[in-house]
Amino acid sequence: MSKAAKFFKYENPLAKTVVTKGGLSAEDAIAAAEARVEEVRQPTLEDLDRGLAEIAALRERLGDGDAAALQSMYQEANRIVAVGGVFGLGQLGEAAYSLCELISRFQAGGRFSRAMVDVHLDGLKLLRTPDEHDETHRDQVLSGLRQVTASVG
Amino acid sequence: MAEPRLNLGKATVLLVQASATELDILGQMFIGFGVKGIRKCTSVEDAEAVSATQPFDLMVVDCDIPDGAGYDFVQRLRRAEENANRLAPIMLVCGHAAPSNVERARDCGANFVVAKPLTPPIVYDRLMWMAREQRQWVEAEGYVGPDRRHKAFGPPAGEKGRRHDDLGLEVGLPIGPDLEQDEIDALMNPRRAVA
Repeated sequence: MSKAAKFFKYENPLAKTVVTKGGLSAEDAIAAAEARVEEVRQPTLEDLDRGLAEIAALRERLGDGDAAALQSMYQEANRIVAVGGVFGLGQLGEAAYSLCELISRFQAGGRFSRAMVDVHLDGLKLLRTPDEHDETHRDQVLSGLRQVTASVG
Repeated sequence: MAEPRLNLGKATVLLVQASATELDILGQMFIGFGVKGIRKCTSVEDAEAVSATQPFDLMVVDCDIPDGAGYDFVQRLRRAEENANRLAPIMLVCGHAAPSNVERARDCGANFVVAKPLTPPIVYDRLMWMAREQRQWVEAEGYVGPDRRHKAFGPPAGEKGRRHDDLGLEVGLPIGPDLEQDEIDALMNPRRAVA
């Protein structure tokens, strides 16, 4: 017979950080954090571009769906998911998320389509420079990538 | 009433991220929030060693560490009875999560799961939420961590609740006379008492 679950109240150490005087207001804290994050914009974007280049290089190793290359591509794309939206490249991050989901579905279903990967790579390349494309075009690209991914059951 | 603020000047925070780039962004963010005691780890092994010796007010743990090591770290910590951080608030941060990992995120014992990308407004908002939460702690064979039910709607229909304070679905008999209409109106429309 399984042991009964125990429920009890506990002290939340973060509770003492909520104050009405002193500390930082939400507005000030967020502004200060944004200024700090801005300091790492350049190295982050350089790292992001290295990730995009690595994804392009991994494409050449995919063959008929090489498992190790796909997994590496997933990890690189997931890193872009994490940082794209921090520096105004939210749609690039969403395209990378779609690529992760596509690979995840390939892995789960034992399927592979190079064309589906390629269209994502084209999308990533386009969304890396959002200012060079109008909003409608970018939205359509992203929507198309999501449809491609959703088509893999 | 004054808007609540966060004073994180004395808080200690452990950041566990596999990616140095993400770790830098998060570190900068918490410095901006006013945190002075930040400890950064790029591996679960480092995090395990640090968390065994130093108490933290908050831990931010990455889901995307290979092989699900981030989930396992949280799960082990919650069950480590001798560890001072066993009850520490944990924010789990996830990029893309494969279906198999969604349940792991829910069940490992973290207080909150936040989707990447992490931006200052999102993290501040979640921090404030975590600082004000008052859920109970649960220890069961299959789960140790804060109660996963964020709202208490009572036990599922047709089932008896497992908690001592769960209320049954059946409403009991009245314990006094019904309120008069003017008493109900007074509840809806309170007025200042006049001497």
